[in-house]
Amino acid sequence: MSERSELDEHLGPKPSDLPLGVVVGGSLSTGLTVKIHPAFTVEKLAVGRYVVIRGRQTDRTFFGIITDIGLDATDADLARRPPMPDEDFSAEVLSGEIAYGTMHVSPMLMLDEDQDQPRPVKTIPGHFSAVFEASAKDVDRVFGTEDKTHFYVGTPLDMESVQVNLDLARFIERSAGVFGKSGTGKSFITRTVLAGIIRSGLASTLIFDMHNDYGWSVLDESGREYKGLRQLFPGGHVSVITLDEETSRARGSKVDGVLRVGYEQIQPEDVEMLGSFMGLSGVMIDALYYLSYKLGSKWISILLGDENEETTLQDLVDEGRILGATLSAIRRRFEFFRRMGFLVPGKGDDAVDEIFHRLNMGTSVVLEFGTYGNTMAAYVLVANYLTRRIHERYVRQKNLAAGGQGDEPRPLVIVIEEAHKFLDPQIAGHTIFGTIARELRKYSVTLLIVDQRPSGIDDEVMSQIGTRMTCLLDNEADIRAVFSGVSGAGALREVLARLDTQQQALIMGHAVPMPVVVRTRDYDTSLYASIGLAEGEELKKRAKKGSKTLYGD
Amino acid sequence: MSLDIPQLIPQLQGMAQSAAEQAAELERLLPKAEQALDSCAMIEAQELMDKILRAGSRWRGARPTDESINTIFPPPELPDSFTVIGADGSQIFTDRHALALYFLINIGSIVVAHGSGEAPLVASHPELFYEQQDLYPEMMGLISSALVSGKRDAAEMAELARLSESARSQPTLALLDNGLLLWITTQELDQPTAQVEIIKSDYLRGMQAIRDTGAALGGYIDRPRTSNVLRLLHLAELPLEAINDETLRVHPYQHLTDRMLFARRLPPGHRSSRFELLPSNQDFSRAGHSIQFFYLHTGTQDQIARVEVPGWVAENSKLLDLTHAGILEECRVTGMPYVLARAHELAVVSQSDRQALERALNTLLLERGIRSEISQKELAKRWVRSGQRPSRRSSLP
Amino acid sequence: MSEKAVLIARVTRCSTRSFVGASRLPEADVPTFGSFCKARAQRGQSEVIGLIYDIRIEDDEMARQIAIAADPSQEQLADNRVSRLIPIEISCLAVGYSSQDGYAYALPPQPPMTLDDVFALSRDEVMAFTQSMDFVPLVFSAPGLPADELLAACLRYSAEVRPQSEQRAFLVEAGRVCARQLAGDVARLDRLVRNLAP
Repeated sequence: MSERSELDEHLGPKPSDLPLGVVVGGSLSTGLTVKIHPAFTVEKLAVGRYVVIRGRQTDRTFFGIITDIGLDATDADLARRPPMPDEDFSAEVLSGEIAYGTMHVSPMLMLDEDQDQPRPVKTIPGHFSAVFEASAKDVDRVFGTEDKTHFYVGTPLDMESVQVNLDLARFIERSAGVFGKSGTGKSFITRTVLAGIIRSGLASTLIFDMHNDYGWSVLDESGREYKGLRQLFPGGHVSVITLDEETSRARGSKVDGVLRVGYEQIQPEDVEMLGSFMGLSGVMIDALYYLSYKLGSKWISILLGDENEETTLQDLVDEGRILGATLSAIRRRFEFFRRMGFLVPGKGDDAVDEIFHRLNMGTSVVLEFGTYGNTMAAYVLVANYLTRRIHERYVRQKNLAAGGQGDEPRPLVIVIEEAHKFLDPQIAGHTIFGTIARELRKYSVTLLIVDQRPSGIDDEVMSQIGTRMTCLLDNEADIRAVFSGVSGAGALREVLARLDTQQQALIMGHAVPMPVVVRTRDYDTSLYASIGLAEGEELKKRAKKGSKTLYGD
Repeated sequence: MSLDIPQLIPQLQGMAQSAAEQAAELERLLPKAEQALDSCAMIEAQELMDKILRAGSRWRGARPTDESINTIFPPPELPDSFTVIGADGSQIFTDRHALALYFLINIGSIVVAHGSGEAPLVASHPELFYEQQDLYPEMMGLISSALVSGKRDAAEMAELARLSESARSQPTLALLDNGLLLWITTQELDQPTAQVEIIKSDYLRGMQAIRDTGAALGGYIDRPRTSNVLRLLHLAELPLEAINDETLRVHPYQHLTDRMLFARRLPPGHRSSRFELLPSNQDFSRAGHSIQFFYLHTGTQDQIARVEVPGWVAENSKLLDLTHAGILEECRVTGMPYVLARAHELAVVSQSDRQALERALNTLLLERGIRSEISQKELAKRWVRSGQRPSRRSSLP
Repeated sequence: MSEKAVLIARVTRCSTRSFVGASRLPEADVPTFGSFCKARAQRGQSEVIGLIYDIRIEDDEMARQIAIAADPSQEQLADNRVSRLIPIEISCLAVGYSSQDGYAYALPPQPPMTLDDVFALSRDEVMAFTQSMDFVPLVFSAPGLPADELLAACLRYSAEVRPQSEQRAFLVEAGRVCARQLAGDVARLDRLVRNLAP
């Protein structure tokens, strides 16, 4: 009997032979209620931890996650006559037995005795099944081992020896999201996952790097330096293309190209997205289409007054095709383009083809915005502009491949930040990003959206997000949004709201067997090493393959 | 309940009627007896002695002593500290139906040091007799209950003697819950004489030992039914020549007892004068232990007790006073001497004690391969049947 | 460590649920409320473990007389306090029995027989018997007993026979067992637990 209290001491990271409690009720949809064994105290539990439930009548094992912790009593009277603070003994006797802890467990997976791989739950364990804290072994079995397509992203809380591995093949199959309020480490997680994807070679990534977080080294708040993707993959798997050569150079980034978009390449569709940023009304947007149609490819230059075509414009006004006031307003607003250094008069470079080519070759592209990152309209414009055209090429390529006239395009993951600006319910229906999110992997293009305000994202798009990696969110609407379309989500809310502000994330969805709260992997030399190692192996393999080809083997 | 009470009602009514009539008759007789006592006291001593002599050696009356027979004596002073010793015994008689043949004598005793404030010393000494010479004395068959009782009486006296020895330092009174005259010696004996002699000499040795320590010795008889004094009164009323066995046997006071007489005479705490018990026992007299007695009002509700003392106590006023006052003090709370009540309690062998004893014996016999012939069930029956107490005396206050 | 078994009574009447024993004992040996005792049963094949729930000092004429006397002597008072055996009747609830396999926490198959010896359980035996609390429900379910006071006394005593360091843990565990039984009656439980508190 005296060992009990010592067991209490051990409880915590060390799983014990004693069950934490027994299942006393619940359902598959709402989760299980577990009465906690008197020997354990709720004070040592934590939401987000894993439990293993051994079926009482079968050999089935269930995995679940603690989603809520509560206190209860067998008799409501107890609340009216609780032991006083000095009645230690009474308190000790009553707690655990009459007054006891409960926890809510969401069952996630089940494993039959003769099976290796856990499957999603289709039923629940019976009454009084024993609930144990999951051991490292149990959790390990769920998350598998790291290999070429399974990438280690973090460890479950209190289980440093267990790796949570993201199934990258599934991750890129559908759009994914990284959410969290600012400062919670979204970009670190994103960078980690991207490193994994790039290393696996399963997909190319196109990263619209608003804050210059991905390409080259970044500094955190404390001034520590972290390597960018371009540095992690020096072998050519990552290209950095900048919109702001000056800034990139100043930062010391190695830049593989500079993006210049010619006025003539911009179509009204590209501008339409900017409506809210540029203050374009519906009437003005309609006018843009008309102007572009009337004025041809040089329509922007004409509107900016660079082409001496004032009379043409005046004619349109005179003909009553367009209101003079509308035209003036548009022209005033178009002055914005002049401030965007990456926009150049004329036809510009053949950037889209170049980027598509790289992506299709398996090279990921980081598009550094430099100082333009601070201008939302520039970000939206470029992301929209490039994505539309690249997506178009993927569609074409995919169709060709379907007709047996070309190779399958290499899968592509497009990373956008501040995604709610692209995917808000007003516009998501008719933007390229909404389309990509909805069409799933039909054309081998998926999104990885990074956002701090998931509530601003269109519900329909949100529900298409396959894998969600969520850092701390405290806005109720954001939390609700993150869980939209997730079954049993209610229970996980408590978990999410209680994450640490840094380096903790709830991962759920397509790429993990069950929701998991992780302490995200440190973005440090050990990560570099694991990437570097892979890189080295890949190089060797490629060299070998080259030599084989050479000798006609 | 097997007794048909309703059927008995008429008889009970007759019985009650008869008792009432007898009580009325006694009420009528008592004043006469009282008068006789006073008249007897007036008779010349020599004349009375002649009459007693004439009554013969089988007359069971009382002989006056140096005290006038109608005198009463108030309670004497008690010393500040004194010791009272009580002893009592009980026994299990031999039983042919028992597991084995044996008898048991258990002596309980108590020593109260009055004035000390300390708890009395108590003791209980059981002794088991099972050897052939104990069970079959003098080859005359199984030992009789009378002999076992005699042995018990001797053991009681021996215990008193043992305890008196340890109380030489201060006034000591040794009390026996019985008359002093060894009962077995008063029987018309068909007992093995040698055995009775052994018992008697043990008994007398005990008395002598007590005498030697300087302690007083008394036999206390609660609610005595004797009428020795009344016999004397009747004798005194007879003319000398009319005295014969026939006239002595039928006397007017024969339904009265001395106790009734003295209950009218004695105020609380007072004693009657001493009488000598007749017929006197030669062995006791020769050994200097001729027995005298007096009646004593013990203080509560006309309780008259008879106290027997040896001559050497009777004629030693200090010892006599100690006996008188000591018994009064002992009776003050419990109605009878406390030491005797306690000695009895310590001695008594209860049914459950007896069963436990037999069970232990049974176990030991079994261990030695002897299977008792009596089944547990039969034993239980017997125990239920034998409702009466094993002790001859069962008078608790 | 083996202590001599103290005979405290002999069985006078019994059933499988309980038994009553009687004896005269010096005051020092009179068992206490809530202590354990045992009586032989099944011709010695087992021992019934009893929990003493009632101790009756039987009517004693002499003691009564001394009590009401105006001025009993000091010696008599002392005698009655120290030397005299007190006639007692103890009532015991059967809470288990021992057999070759150890203790069983259920009513015995047979009661002890009339006049079987009743012994107090030694400290070691109490410790062994109370290793399990399975007897507690038997106490709660016995009708007409002061079950709560009885358990409190019994469990406190059972704690006392244990090493100091284990006593509190024992009482907590015991309290929890009681709590399980009294889950629906917090007021009663509260009193019981207060009585248990070390």
